[in-house]
Amino acid sequence: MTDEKKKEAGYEHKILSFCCNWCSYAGADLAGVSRLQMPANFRTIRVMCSSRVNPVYVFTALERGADGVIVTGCHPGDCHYARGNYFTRRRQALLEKVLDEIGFDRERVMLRWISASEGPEFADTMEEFDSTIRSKGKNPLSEEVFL
Amino acid sequence: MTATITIDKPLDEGVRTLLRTMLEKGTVRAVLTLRRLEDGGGVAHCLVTDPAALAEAVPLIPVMPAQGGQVLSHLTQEEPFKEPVAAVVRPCEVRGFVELIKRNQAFGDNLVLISPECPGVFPVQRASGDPMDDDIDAYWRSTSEGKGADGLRPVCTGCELFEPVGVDMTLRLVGRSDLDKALTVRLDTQRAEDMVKDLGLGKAKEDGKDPKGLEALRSARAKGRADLRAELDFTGEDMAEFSRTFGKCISCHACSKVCPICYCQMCYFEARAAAAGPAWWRNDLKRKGATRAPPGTVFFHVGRLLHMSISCVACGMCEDVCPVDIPIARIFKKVGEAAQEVFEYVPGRDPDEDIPIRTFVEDELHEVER
Repeated sequence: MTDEKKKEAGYEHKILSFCCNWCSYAGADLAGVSRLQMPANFRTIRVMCSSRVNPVYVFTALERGADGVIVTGCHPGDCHYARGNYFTRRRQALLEKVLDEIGFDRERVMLRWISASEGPEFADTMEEFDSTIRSKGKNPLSEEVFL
Repeated sequence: MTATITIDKPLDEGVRTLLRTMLEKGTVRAVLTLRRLEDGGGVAHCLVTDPAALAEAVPLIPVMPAQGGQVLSHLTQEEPFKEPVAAVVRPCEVRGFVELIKRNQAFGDNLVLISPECPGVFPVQRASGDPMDDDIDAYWRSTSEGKGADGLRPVCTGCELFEPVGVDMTLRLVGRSDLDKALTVRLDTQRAEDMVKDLGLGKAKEDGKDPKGLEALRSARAKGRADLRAELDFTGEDMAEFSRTFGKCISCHACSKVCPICYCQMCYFEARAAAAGPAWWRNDLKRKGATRAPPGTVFFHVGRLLHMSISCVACGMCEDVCPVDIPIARIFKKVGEAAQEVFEYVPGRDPDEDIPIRTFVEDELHEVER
């Protein structure tokens, strides 16, 4: 894909965020009720635990037109289910390695820990990831016919 | 120090002698081995209890009509063997079997594993109808010299794990000049030593020095592996090259049917293809203006990489059965090894080692917490 096409005028990128019910979703909620400014380009799916997110789901989103996917969960040690997020971290490492090997830009996926009290951190994270994805432009897979 | 016995018959005949003696003396109740079909047609795994039925056994024939790990899983899925059973399987088949045990798809109890130092196998198509005698002669000549034979499965040429791990007996083949006269069997476990004592196949001796050819094959394989890795590099390509390579896939899913690790009765990706309804098409067409039907061709392979590459034993079954010649085993071997290196995991190395995505260490992988 040419660079001009990537940065097509008026293209609004889409980000999918998976938030764990106990920490990050509450953090997102706090950011909202605190009226913190956040980009409007992300859609959230709430999951009971970040380890519920099979790496295949992340790739599904990328294949179906998302330009970036972020998975958020409780800080290590703080998981509501005691150990779920440690598994998430292993899955993320696996996912990023596989994406690397097949030639997909791993920076379009991200893992971050955000607790229920970290409203500002949630807003900052979304701002940061949004600007990364904005600068990368359209996901090359979103127009690939033969997937 | 490990002990070996020498059987004064070569190759297949030697292994047949070992198996037959074990059956006759009651050391094992049955053996699993490759066997020619009566009409000389093909080769298949057979579970044998009658020593006379071993006449057609070809334990070392260089083809893999099914992954032995998968075969053993079918046999032991519901319950372990109640009496000792010997199985002649290749090192990658043993590794596949161990991965299946970890996934609760098989039991290793009472199984006596006999495995060769594996010079590789020919593509599975050679197993049916084709006598391949000349090629087999050349194959054993190369093996005794410690060279890789011609015409092997491509993925075999880059296999550095050709020496069996976690087995009871190792058939020492590579680099041995007496290959056409005698069979050397190394006894890797106490159980194997005890069994062999009663067989009357000669006294166990201490294992000699490794032949030069073994070292030669090790380095040839290391080079082969490097060549395979250089040949298939998709990094930094916006996935375009990967999509092109797998774009010609016809979605027969044979690669997953023969894969020892893909044990799921109902594959997630097959369910998903069926689930693609009208909303799916509309979304795709809005973005792309054209869409492949049914969808999910390349996705299937990425998904399989995400699901099973961590345990890929690089046996090469998938590539053999691909009707459109995608170099799938070579790609899965490369991506799988990259994923396995992240967790310093070697599939099938140790039955007590958990699958990396089912365990964790508290302080690790901070590079992915961005």
